[in-house]
Amino acid sequence: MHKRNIYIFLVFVSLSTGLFGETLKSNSPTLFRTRWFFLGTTSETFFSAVKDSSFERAIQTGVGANIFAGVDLFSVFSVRTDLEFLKVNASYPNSGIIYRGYTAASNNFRLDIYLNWLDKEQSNLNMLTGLFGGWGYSFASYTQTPLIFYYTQIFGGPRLEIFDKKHNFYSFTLELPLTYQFRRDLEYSTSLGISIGLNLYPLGGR
Amino acid sequence: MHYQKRYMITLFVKMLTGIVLLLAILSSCSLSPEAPKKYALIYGISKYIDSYNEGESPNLTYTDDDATAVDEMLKGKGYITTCRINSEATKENLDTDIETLKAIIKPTDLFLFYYSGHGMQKDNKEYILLYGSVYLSNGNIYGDLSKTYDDITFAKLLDTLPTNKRVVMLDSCNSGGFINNRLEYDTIPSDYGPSSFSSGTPTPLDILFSVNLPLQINNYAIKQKAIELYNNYNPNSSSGISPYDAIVISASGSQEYSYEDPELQHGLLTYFFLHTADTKYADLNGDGYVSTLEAFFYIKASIDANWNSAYYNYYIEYGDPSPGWTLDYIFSPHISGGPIDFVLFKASD
Repeated sequence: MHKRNIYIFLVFVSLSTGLFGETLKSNSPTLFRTRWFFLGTTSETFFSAVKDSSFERAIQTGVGANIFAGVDLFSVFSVRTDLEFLKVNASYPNSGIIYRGYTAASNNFRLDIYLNWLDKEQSNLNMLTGLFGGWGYSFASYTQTPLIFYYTQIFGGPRLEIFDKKHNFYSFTLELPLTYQFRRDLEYSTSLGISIGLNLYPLGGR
Repeated sequence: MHYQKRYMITLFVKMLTGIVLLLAILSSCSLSPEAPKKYALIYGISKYIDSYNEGESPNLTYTDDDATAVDEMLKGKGYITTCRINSEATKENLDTDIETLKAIIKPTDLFLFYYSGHGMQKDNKEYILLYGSVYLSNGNIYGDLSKTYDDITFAKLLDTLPTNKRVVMLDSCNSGGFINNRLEYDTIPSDYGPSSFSSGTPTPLDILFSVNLPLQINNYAIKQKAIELYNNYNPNSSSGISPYDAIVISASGSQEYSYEDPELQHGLLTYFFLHTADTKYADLNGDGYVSTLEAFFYIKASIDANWNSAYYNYYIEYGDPSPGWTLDYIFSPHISGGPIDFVLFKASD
């Protein structure tokens, strides 16, 4: 089961890399300066597809926010860790079935790979495209219950970072995270979302 | 360079459009919110000994009234019910009723078993005490556990039903022992005393975010226990009723009593469960339906606010008049874990 899930994740990352492959040829990410230490926050909204072995699948919605800190390595990738808080809403009732909502506190470890640096001379903005992926664990509590449970997850997706040329101590990010939760009592639980974030570079950036 | 920037933006827009379309297709596959048909077996016993009056030990007072009221309430909510009171609430009749249901219930239907009466714990098993399992002989009271069900055999009985949508509601002592979670750690202890009541009372912030006791996530021992349950997960373990057998709402923990109140003229769980049918406040998420989880939350919050808080305040003001006296009166309902919840009925307007 776990092998299959890892396989799905790798296929997703490979496909995403293919999408960005075209631009990778023309620009080297080493053209920009390493930003060393960084920290920031993101907020996201997402849809989850869940399926219990005995019941029909359902869609759940959710929101999340996190704070993170990380370091750039060799100007081509970065590593970071974050603390995330998620609230997943219960699914809408369907044939008498509801997938329970829950709140979760997660700790994730993530690797970002920078693919392409897009610089336009006339513009005040620079953009950096890339991919990210990682692993995390969560402690969650079903909404309106005192029941606490644990699960792990893998995630990945494309990212776009936007810099202001005049101010090199911050940037904004737009990401499309795809997450697979290893919930042992579900056949599958996966979510796709969109997140926006603010990165801060206390030591200066690009 | 300009082309590349435009290309990237176009790519993101396309991906977003694709996601929205995919989700629209997935979410359009919805059927009726409620289960097609809803069946309920309702058992309530006050008079275990026919020659004794109601309320005369070991007889109870309001448990048969509980069953009658729940029967009426569920009928009003569209359930097809079978109600057994006192001498009719036997193991033989329960077996017969389950056999009858097996022939007519469909996999998409909902099954609810409600019980109000005595419960007990013996040799790490919990029991509901059906009629005939308590009897009088030569002026003494005896028990015959072969004439009733324990948590393990009852789970097996439930498994014979051809639907997975099963709810069990037990208004009896020690009934929390019927719940056997596989992945979830229940932060309400099996004996809910004054200290756990005061620390577990939801704050306004908890209620605002609809999360109960989330701060206990910071407790290291609880986290360790949750990880242990995850690593040793076994859905087929044979002790108690797992969340995959049925969602159980119990009146009390496995180590404590539940109570009936002369003023309310019902067991406390039942009294507040009856309320869920005619208050819009039971529909916590406002989707128009009352689920098992919402019923549980409403019942628990009501017992905490109306019963436990009175005994807690008494305890703070006067202490324990005799050892364990206040501890015994403070109790809490429990609910099964699992990712699934069932719609019980349409919420009141």
